[in-house]
Amino acid sequence: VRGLGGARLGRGGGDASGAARWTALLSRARRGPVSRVSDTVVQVGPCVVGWAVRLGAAVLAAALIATAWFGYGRWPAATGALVTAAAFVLVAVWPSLAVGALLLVGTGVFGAGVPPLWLLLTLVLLGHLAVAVAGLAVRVRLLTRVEWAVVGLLARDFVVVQAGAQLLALVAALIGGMHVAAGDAVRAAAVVLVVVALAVVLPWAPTRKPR
Amino acid sequence: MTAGQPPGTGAPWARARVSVAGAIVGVVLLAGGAVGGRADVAVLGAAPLVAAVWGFARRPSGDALVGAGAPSAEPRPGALDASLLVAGPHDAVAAVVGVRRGRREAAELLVATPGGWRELPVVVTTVRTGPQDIATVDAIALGPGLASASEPSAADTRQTVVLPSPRPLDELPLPPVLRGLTGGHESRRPGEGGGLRDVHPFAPGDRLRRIDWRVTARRAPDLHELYVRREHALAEAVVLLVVDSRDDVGPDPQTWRGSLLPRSQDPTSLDLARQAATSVAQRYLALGDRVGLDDLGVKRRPLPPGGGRRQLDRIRHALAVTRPEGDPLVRLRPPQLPSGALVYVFSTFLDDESAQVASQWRRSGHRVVAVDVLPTLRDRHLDDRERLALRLLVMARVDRLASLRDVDVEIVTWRDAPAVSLAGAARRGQRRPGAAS
Repeated sequence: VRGLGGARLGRGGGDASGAARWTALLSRARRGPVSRVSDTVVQVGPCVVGWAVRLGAAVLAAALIATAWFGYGRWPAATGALVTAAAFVLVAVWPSLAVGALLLVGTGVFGAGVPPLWLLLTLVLLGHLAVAVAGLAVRVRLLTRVEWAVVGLLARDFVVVQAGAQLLALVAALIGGMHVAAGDAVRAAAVVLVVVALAVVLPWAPTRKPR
Repeated sequence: MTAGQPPGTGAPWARARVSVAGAIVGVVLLAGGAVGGRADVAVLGAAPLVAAVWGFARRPSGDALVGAGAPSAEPRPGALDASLLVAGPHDAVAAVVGVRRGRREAAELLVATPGGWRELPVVVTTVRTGPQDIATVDAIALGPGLASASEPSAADTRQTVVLPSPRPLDELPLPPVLRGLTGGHESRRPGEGGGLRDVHPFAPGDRLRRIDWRVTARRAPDLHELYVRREHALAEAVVLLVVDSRDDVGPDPQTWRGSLLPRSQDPTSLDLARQAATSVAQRYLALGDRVGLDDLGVKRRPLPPGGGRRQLDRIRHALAVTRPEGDPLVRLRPPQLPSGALVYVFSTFLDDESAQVASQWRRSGHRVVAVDVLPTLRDRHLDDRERLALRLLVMARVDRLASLRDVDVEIVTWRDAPAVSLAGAARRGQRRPGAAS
């Protein structure tokens, strides 16, 4: 037994030599990470896995940048694709960089001029969504199971704020002298109505007192 | 549940970094839009800023508490049912819960905590017996909008003791000498309860109802002498179960060094020993015999031989708490046994000590059954050095078991078909002169 690298359980395991430690390390490396065991099942509601949340944050950040880039239609498409891909990868690795994507887009809009109304409403929606999902993604690891109930509670807060933001964007467009076509007005009203309807439909946080 | 600061007291929770960053970016965009006269730029930062400020305004205070609940029923090998409790302030909306078993991570969850409270059922699948960790759990509670987070809670661990379950056995060997005048076995002594021993002339002390009138009529028609039927007495066996708790090795030799733990679906040698000893004890106790328990690994008062259902419960509990403790014990002499006892030694026989003890008991006249509880080994994944070491170990063990056979110790391998081996040992014992006397 000592030839196998140490003592058996109950016979004191502290005499492992350096070679034995190396053997243990190599064995562990050969087997791969054994950090998880599948013998424990915690029963929770419907879940989404953590990497999907992180992927969602990356997709939203990339969509935010792509929408701003291609929405104006002034800059080269190849560069836009490259920037979008870079944003996707960076946010997938560091989800908190989604906030940086919002700053980048805000700076771009500042330099590029007043966007059309549909683009402004979309950027307001995507920017807030990317930051909100990034806030969830930084809390979870790749294999963390995220209950959909948590997503539902966050979505309720999100739509309440987003409804106000969409209305604010509409008001800002009118104040800023932006040209609002009849179709734009209908689209903006539809977005606001959808957001309000979601705020009504989505679950509110229960107020049950702890036992 | 671990103690902590009550919800609603103490400092508010720390702000989340992403929310803080979102608020800063929102302020920058608002300021940029205001300075540049660009309402469209300002409105881009409004939503993250409002969301962050709203979340900060609702920051809870107090500690998150976690706890692992006790199993709902008597734990048995297979599946352990328990519950995890997560509690925080009333306005906490979610919690990141980490669950570990032993040194391994079992699950990480982000769950909703409606009202700041959540109970999560957990099922642990394991074939292991004895002291078992159900789970170690810790948590971080999250405030509204995930804009704030509590300090990580202190980890809470819940343990339970899983009693070994018996396996049905049929015939079992008996000791060379039976004891007492009651029991489930027929002895050679005259008495009552057993089969016909002989027919004998009536003597003072014989009961009148024992008179066999047919034999009397045949042998003494004039009734000058009466004949009585004499029966064998009943007797009980005394069985001592000796468990070698110094080893707790699994099927994977790489886990023997202790740095890796055996998988929960792999029974270890001590699990097999517990099951084997429980099965043997249950069968003997069902036959009315007396069964005791001793441990080769620790100096502890042995469980004296006894009978009945409560004795089986005592043996199961004693076996369940048996585990390797500290440095192995070096015994100067084998534990003392009741005279004429049948001895079962449950061991892996990976070293000489248990084999020597079994040999000494056999030489002193006891019938000894050595139960080999080493699990079926898996060696495919071993490297050459480890495989060679294992081969040497197995060769020494085979020699050790062969030397035990040479001194007439009966070997039963629990991982194969123990019921068949034990029934064979029982039949061999019946052919032995003086057996079941």
